Amino acid sequence: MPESARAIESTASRVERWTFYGVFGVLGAIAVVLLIAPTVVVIITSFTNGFSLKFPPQGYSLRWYAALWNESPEILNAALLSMQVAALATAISVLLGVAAAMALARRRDAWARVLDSIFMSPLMLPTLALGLALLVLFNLTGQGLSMTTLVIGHIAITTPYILRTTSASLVQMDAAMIESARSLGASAWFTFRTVTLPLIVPGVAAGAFIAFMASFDNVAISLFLSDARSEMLPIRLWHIIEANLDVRAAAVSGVLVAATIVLGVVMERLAGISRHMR
Amino acid sequence: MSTPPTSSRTAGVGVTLDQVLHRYGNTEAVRDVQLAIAPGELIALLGPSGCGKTTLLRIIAGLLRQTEGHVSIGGDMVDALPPNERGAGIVFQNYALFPHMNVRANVGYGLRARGADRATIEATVDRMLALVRMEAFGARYPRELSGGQQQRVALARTLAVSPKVLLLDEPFGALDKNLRLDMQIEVKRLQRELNITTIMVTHDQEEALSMADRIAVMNQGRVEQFGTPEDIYDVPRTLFVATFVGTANLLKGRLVGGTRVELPSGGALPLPAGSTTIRDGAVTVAARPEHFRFAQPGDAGVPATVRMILPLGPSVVYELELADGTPLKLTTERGAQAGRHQPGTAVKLAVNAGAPLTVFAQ
Amino acid sequence: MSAGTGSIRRDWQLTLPLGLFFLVFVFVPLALLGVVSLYTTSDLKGMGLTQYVKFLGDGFNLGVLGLTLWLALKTTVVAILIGYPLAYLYTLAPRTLQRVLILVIVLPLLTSAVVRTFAWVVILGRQGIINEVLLGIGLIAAPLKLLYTPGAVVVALAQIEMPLMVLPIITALANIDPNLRQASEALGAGKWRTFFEVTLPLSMPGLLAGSLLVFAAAASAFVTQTLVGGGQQMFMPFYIYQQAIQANNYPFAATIAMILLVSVLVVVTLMNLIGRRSKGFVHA
Repeated sequence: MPESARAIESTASRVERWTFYGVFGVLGAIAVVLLIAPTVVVIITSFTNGFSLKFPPQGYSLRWYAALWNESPEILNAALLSMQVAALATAISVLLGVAAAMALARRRDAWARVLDSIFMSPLMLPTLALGLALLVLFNLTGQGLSMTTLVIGHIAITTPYILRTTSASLVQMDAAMIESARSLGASAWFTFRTVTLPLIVPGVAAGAFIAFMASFDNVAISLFLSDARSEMLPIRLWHIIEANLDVRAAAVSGVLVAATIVLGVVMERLAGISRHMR
Repeated sequence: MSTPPTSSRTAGVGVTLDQVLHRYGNTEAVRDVQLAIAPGELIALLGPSGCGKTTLLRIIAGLLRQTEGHVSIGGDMVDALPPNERGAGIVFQNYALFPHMNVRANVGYGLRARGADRATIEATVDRMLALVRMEAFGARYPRELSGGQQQRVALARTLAVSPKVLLLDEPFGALDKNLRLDMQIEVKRLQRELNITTIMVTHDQEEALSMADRIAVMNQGRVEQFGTPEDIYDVPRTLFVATFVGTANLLKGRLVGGTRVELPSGGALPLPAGSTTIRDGAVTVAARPEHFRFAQPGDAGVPATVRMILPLGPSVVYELELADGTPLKLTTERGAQAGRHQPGTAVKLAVNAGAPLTVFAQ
Repeated sequence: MSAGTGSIRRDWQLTLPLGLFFLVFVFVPLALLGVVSLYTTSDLKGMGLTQYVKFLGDGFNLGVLGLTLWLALKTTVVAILIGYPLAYLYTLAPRTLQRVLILVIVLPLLTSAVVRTFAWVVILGRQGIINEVLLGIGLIAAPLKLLYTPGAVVVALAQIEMPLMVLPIITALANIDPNLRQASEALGAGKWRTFFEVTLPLSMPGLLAGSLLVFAAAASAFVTQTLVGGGQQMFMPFYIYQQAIQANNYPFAATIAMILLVSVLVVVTLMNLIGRRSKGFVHA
């Protein structure tokens, strides 16, 4: 088109565009590296053949995984206990959380909003304070520390996750579906089983998975509520890292990271956890 | 650019699209679009959803970079320019008013972005609000306005920066029917007053026919026809245009001697002399419902049966069926012939003298 | 089932089990904690505000509180600085890249915080990757002391809590009508102005929600504070643990816990209020 002059973007506009994407790109890249790097470092370190956490390691071997499997019953027992507590706490939280979500999700009354905030508060409050408070309660009532006290403490911090994901699923669900089920003659319980539950199962599953991981990882509550005999895995790990930086900590971390990635990817496929965490 | 014009009326600039093509992945959303829009003209891009009209509008605005071809505004090829330097003002379908700014801040936004001084901004905002008759609403937030008011503000915000070209994306789609007509008149008034070259995207043919100086009918990424509303309606160049704009009866038949089409069900449709250059043979005729009338008893005509009668206010639509089962619509004014033909009656149809039937080769 | 249809809903009873649980195992214990904090001596004798006077009248204690809140604030700011751009880029990324990015963001959140803290111990250690690289390129002669410094705690915590910041911001950004940004640019605004005048204000609810979560988490991140911070810096959570378990001074531990609880609650409530105001105009 000879009659058209080719207009050129002004320098100011070009500079602005480049600085904008430059700054955001660099900071975003830093964020991605920061998110990935620690995990990668832990995994590589866990394969060291040396006695220290030198990075990068001098040579590679599976010796620390072997040591973990063969010579570390206390760590394996701690892991087993952590899993039991997490599973129990999650199971009970699902019952409590789903029931409460059914009542609260679609309500806009003030009391429902307040109740919802209260149930969600353990995510925000210093859980260490709650751990101490529960310890005081159990001491005063003369109840010794046990598996039960541990599970109770964990339920308080796992329920919010289930309440949140279930409520979100319920809100997204078309209310007309329940109304039409009821108008077709279905009872409340039949409607819940045949319509509501199938539609919210991904949300509940995502919440349960996140809750399980949160319980499994908890230190603040377990610190106060586990008795002398039963040590939880994260606390065991904390002691190892604090005391002597035993390389087995790297092997444990390696196993946990691998398990989290596998379970996380599977759950993302099945229940879309990332959608439920936003 | 930072000083608004002393007079509202602009010179108007031309817009040229030269062989514009756009691909999303493997699909060509826009292809071979060649349009020359005159200064001060109001153009409608008309087509069904997915025809590429909005994509084309976004390409002109610079919100999307076309895969091939060139866009010129006022003689400058603007392909390399980002949206903030094109001088094309766009009003979005949902108005896209900034919800966290009041009406005055919204209207003044573009001038602030250009670094205009306070006094200029205030004066321009006043003038723009007066232009769209929204002086009393300056302190309101968008959520406190009705749909029509939001649209006025969106127009004022776009016009405040004195764009060379005004782009409207389905401008009346979100308004209810009564308000729509008012706003159509309003926008047309502003466009005439400012003499601003305007490109409007719409899927509503009535809107395009009533507002635009020229219409580009789009289908599957292509411009099928670019012409005045009369041209588009009376002389559709493709079967798509004939059926998309207005209602058309499509009748298959044989063209004989270039002057009449014989229908398989009996009877023939006369064509105005010299209206087609197609060779004799199998053709499809596009005829508007108002091109037909009921023939006088005893006259020759196309035999048909009345199936249904739909009174539509000032006119009556007859659903008919030809002998071979082809459906056909006929419109007459209410009154004279109303009630004369009951469903099931056998009638004969004639073509109004001079009716511009269009013929397409099969 | 739907609210507002006027039908009588009895399903509020479904909140009873969880409500009861919270009453017995959250409210009552926290109230007891408040009561315990009012005992004058560690063997639970005498009532009064002695413990609070002791805490608030002592420079060391106030220092611990200040350091904890300051740590949480710095962590929040760092998490915003790197988390916001990541969230922004996520919303611009093509769908396939988004699917990978979301896993990169979510998986660390699911990974044990102890493990992530351990990673920082390895990275920042005397033989960690940073020291090895700096030694290798000859920038330093002897390994730097990176671990057990205030900066290390901030960086480690910001990294560990970053997903809590990124996820709500992504939600907020995804809720912004893309036409608003385009309208801004079509009106002549450049990228930066569009960002600061349109995108940032409209993503405020997400930014505040994220800040709230990160602040609260950083203030009570017991494991990271102790492992990366070491013994030199005392933060409130470890102080609670030390007074309760090691010194057996329950009233004082309860007092520290109450003060931490109230401090976090005040900050969280303030942010919530601001957040609610910003939501007002965002969701028209």
